[in-house]
Amino acid sequence: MGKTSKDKRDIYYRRAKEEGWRARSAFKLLQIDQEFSIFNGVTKAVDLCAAPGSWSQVLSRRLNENYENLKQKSEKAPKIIAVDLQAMAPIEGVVQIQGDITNIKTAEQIIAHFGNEHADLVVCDGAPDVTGLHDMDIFIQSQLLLAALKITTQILKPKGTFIAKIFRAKDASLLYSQLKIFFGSVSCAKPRSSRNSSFEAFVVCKDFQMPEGFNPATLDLSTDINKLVGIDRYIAPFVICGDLTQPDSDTTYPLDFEGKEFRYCQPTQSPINPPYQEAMHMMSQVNIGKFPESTSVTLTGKNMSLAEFKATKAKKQDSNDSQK
Amino acid sequence: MKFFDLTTDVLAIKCHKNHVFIGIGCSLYVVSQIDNKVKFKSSILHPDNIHDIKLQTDDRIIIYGRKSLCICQVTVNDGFVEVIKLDEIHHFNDWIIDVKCLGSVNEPILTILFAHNNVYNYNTESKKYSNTICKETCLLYAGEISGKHFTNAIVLSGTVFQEILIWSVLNNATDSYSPILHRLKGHKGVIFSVFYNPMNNIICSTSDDRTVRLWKISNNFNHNLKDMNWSKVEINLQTTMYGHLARVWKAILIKDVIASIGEDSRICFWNLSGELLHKIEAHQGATIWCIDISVNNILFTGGADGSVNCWSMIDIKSSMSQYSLLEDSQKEVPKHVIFLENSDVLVYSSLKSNTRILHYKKNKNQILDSFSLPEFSSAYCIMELSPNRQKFALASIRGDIILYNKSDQKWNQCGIYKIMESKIFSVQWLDNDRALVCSTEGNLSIVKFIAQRIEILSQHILPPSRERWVTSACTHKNLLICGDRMGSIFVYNLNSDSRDPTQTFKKIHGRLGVQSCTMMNGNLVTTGRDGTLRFYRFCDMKDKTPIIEYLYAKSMPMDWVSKLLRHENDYYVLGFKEEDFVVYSVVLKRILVKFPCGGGHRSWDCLIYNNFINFAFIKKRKIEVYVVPFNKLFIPPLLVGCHTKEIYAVKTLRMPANPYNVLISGGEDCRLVIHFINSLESESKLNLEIVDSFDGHLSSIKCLSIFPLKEDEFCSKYLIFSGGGRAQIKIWEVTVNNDELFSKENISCKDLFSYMLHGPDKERNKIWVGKELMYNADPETRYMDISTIVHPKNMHNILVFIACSDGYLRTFIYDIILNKIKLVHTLPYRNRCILKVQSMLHQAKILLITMATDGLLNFWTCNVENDEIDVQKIGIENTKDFTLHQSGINSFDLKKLDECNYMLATGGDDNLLGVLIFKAVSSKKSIEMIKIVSTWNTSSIHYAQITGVKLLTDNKLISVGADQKLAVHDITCHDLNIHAMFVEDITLCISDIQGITFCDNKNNDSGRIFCVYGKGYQLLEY
Ligand SMILES: C[S@@+](CC[C@H](N)C(=O)[O-])C[C@H]1O[C@@H](n2cnc3c(N)ncnc32)[C@H](O)[C@@H]1O
Repeated sequence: MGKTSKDKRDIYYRRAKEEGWRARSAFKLLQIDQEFSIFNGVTKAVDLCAAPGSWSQVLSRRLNENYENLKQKSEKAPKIIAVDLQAMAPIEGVVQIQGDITNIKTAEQIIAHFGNEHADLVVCDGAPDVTGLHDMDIFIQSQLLLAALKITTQILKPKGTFIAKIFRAKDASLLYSQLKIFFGSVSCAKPRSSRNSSFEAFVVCKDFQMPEGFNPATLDLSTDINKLVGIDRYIAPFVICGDLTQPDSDTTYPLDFEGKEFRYCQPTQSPINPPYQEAMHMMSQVNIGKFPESTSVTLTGKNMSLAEFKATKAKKQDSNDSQK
Repeated sequence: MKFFDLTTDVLAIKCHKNHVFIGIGCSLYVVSQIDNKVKFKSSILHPDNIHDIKLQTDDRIIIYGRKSLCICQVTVNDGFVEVIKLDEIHHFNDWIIDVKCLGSVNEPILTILFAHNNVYNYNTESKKYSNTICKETCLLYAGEISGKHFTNAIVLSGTVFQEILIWSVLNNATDSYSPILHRLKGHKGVIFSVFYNPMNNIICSTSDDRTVRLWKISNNFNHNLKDMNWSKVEINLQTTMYGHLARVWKAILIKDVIASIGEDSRICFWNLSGELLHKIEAHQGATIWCIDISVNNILFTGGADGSVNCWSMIDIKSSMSQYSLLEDSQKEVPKHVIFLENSDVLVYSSLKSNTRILHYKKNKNQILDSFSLPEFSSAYCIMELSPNRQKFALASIRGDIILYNKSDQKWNQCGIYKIMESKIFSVQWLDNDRALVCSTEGNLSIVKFIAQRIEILSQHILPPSRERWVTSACTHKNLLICGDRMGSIFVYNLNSDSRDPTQTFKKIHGRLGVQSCTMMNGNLVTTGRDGTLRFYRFCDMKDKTPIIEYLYAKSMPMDWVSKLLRHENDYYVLGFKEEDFVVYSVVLKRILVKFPCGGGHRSWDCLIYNNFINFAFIKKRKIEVYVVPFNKLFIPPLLVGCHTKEIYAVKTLRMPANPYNVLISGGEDCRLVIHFINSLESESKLNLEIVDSFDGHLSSIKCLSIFPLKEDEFCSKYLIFSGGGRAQIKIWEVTVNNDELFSKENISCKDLFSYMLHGPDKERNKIWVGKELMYNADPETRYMDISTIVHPKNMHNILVFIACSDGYLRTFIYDIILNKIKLVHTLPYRNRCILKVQSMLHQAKILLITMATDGLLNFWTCNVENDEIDVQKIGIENTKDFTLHQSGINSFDLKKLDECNYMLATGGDDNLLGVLIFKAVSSKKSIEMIKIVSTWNTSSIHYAQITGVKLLTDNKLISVGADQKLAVHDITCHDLNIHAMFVEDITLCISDIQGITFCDNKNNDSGRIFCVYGKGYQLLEY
């Protein structure tokens, strides 16, 4: 595959690089905003599952604009908290937490940041790195959404907004019903930048209200809600976001589309420390002149960093050389 | 609605005695290890997928997946197997990670680990449970319960955040929280599996970080490991193994070998010190999900391609024996090595001016015979072994041939024959008495060896080329077929007076040359250094030209395909890949074994004899011989899979004359597959079986169109148009011979044509950016849909309409006689990806319908005059744009109601299912306008995009979608008004559903067979 084939297949990928977004996902949030005006008056937001950080970039831009407009009223500076399993390059004004949002400890950490304040907006673009096992991916996705909802119920201000990625699949209707308990309106939004035929969509939940009899601290979504939801399952209205003037993510455009001269851009931010990085480096250390079918590396004892591995390898090499 | 055959991800395998229990989607298959036959099949966990199978007792199994679990009784009787649910399926609120049955037989307690890091001790009779929750609640992908009894079990849970947590089950009456005893850190990604092996006290884990890790448990206080106190032990990371090229799903420990499987389609075998013993690519690139081993040491793996493959656990390296010949003779230079029919080794070597033949006893460094050769042979010599491996010919630079044969264990020289005055370039045996001799200037002679003399049967001329010699040859009836060094195949008629070829396939194998020509099941097969096998068939000899018809190519997993080896009616492909010599099985469609030899060699030989594969080659003036047991390598799969990735299109051939159905499919794996459904057999055995699969698409196949060519009492012929990524279209011809009984030989396929919009050449249309970077400005267009219709004025031409992802509707004309395709019209459409196109004749005029990602419905008509075509938009009454859906229209079906009214059903990306009736208003000359007569729609039936709709003749509408739901509506119309009524819905067993196809079922008028496809396929009857 050529260096530009991704640029050609996906105009949003290309535009993200041109406009300095770390991921094409940025357009999804921007298009949702076009339809639902989600940033109105927002100064405190949480970005769950944020890496590599394009939503945080959008939040940072839009919240700072809001802040500029509100400055006279002696508001505090915007507050953005970003959480992810993966490390993320810093963004000015964004507080980062590295952790698992389904883990109770991470949840506590986020809540602690707010003290007795509330967030105006919680977004969650969390997705498992798809395994290809469809039912498993859907399950994990729904658990990320519920974990995000659980955190949200403890920090979101009344009337606040919650947006989360959802997989349109078998049990999506159950999730809609569960969300409907906490929000006045729940819609299923599909931005034009999200591919046709992809499972992905976003729930846009507005008008948060904690129902009576619920204690956010002890809320167990996997059991409590099932008891509450009757047979009447709620079907969220499906809304396409972004008008037809926006490009279409399924269409393949020529590189010199719209008369603009094409300029190849490097990705804005490549992933930091992805899980497979070490394996790739280790394998490439021994892979010189060899083929992947026979390559392997074995380390014994405690974890060894790549640098240490290289050092011991060099040492071995030396002693081998001196024997000759 | 009835379910039949199913192929999708194989997630669970459990061996038990002589049977293998397999979980495919929601179905349980039981296959006998004795005859490889499916003994039992049932969608037992429907609608949930089976993620694992556990043995509870000798005749009880626990099947579980997602949030459901069921306990079944297994009865084996006289070769029949029956699996019965003992009680209803147990449903839980949470995802099941692991289940163990710990305790005595009469305690009905199951210990169940859930994805939220808690454990139930669950009474299957009373359905009561005690719940233990790990103090650290978080989401798990993997985990294991271990212990002797449920009252004191231990849990090892693998988190999404790199850790393995060890904690104990408390078994209290109320919910209780359990503290963490150990936290194992080291992995760099999500944990995908954890197993504890009490035998050697090792924990084995695998992860997203592509490693397998072993953790050693040391018990300093108590050496009695049986009653290990987990809070007192110390656990340390012992070994980290890198070897997989993607995520590692699972690893199992079998005695002292660890077998790990992963997303990279590979099985890695490791020893306990973490050294890689062996790595195999096991599922044609598809993810491997599950693995188990039987008592007789056969390893089973199940993959995303729907297959279950079998492997011998015997370490291939240790069962491979190797020896060298001519090891200590420093000066002797071996030039040729061959195997005789009994795997004895014959070596041609020279020692200074003395050249000799050494005959070694098989598997031994023991010389049985040796003799010097006449002086002529030393400088330049060719040695070729006859097909029966009992004779060999030597050919010289001066045009002589010497023939040797063996009688009574002794080698005799049969004679020296002067064939010609010039250098002999090559000798190719045609059978055991005849050979083709190639000399200078393309002179070819077929010689026959008769007793003490030779006879020249015929002479031919190889057309001129830079390297003008024959590299391979064979005969069939009166034809001589040979391949040359420049990659061309030439065909000579032996009965003709002309010495020139009657037919030529120029450079068909590329410029690196043809390697072999062989007859295989009546067809010709050639191999070459372009990594392909190419198939040809022989046409009726009475017909003049062409005599040989090229069918198709198959790419082999090797760079250099040397030859086909026949062994007991099966064929094996021999060749070189990177540094290895490989043996590939045509039947099993995989590499059987690789021998490290350093790459392509000038002299080597390979023989399968007496259950051993023998391979010999010359390396550094030595002969190296490898021998491996054949039966350890050749183990047929338990279940044959299908596509390795998503299926995007399936079409049925209409075949009124045959009692079976033939389906064509294509998908993400770039392969076109022909299947058949045998409906003659008893109903419960309705199976979809693969006839063959074809390569040639460079990117995924997205769409298919079938054009029936002819149908008579003997056979039916079809053209298949397949399109997809890289703006490529391929045209195939499929012929089905009429026959009551199905046999794969009745179906043949020919690769007619490949066309790429932007040409195959990478150098097209480049634009320069900066100094060194150069780009091609063309979009990477995908062909989304194809519709074909005969040219209204020329029955030998076909109009091909293609919906393209770059927002154009392209029209091609394909000439059947000339086998040529031409782009005749390009219609731009609003920069939106066109998803669907349909062409049909309406009152002798062409009516086109297109649908795109903008959700609009568009009608077009076209005037065709020879190669000129003109596409005009047809207006819809009262509207400028007619919006059917908010976004993409993924599927549609069309039904003609009467002379001018049509019913159109559509399914969209917006979950909306719609039906409308439109009227085409036409004048004498053209279609003037479309009137939308009535519409109906619903968005409350599907929760996700609708990807397939079908209008049936009995007013039923069937829709399928990504929510894995199939819904049935009754659609009736009164005065062209639509009335719809929901009838029923069911959950399907395959995911990522891309569409539904109606498969004509001739035998049974009441039932109709459908194929739903996506991640695999499912056959059902409605
Ligand atoms: C689609 S990406 C988010 C992209 C991001 N919104 C942006 O615009 O750059 C999904 C992220 O979810 C994260 N994720 C998945 N599971 C998680 C979990 N359990 N806790 C925290 N983050 C998680 C992944 O690490 C991944 O970075």
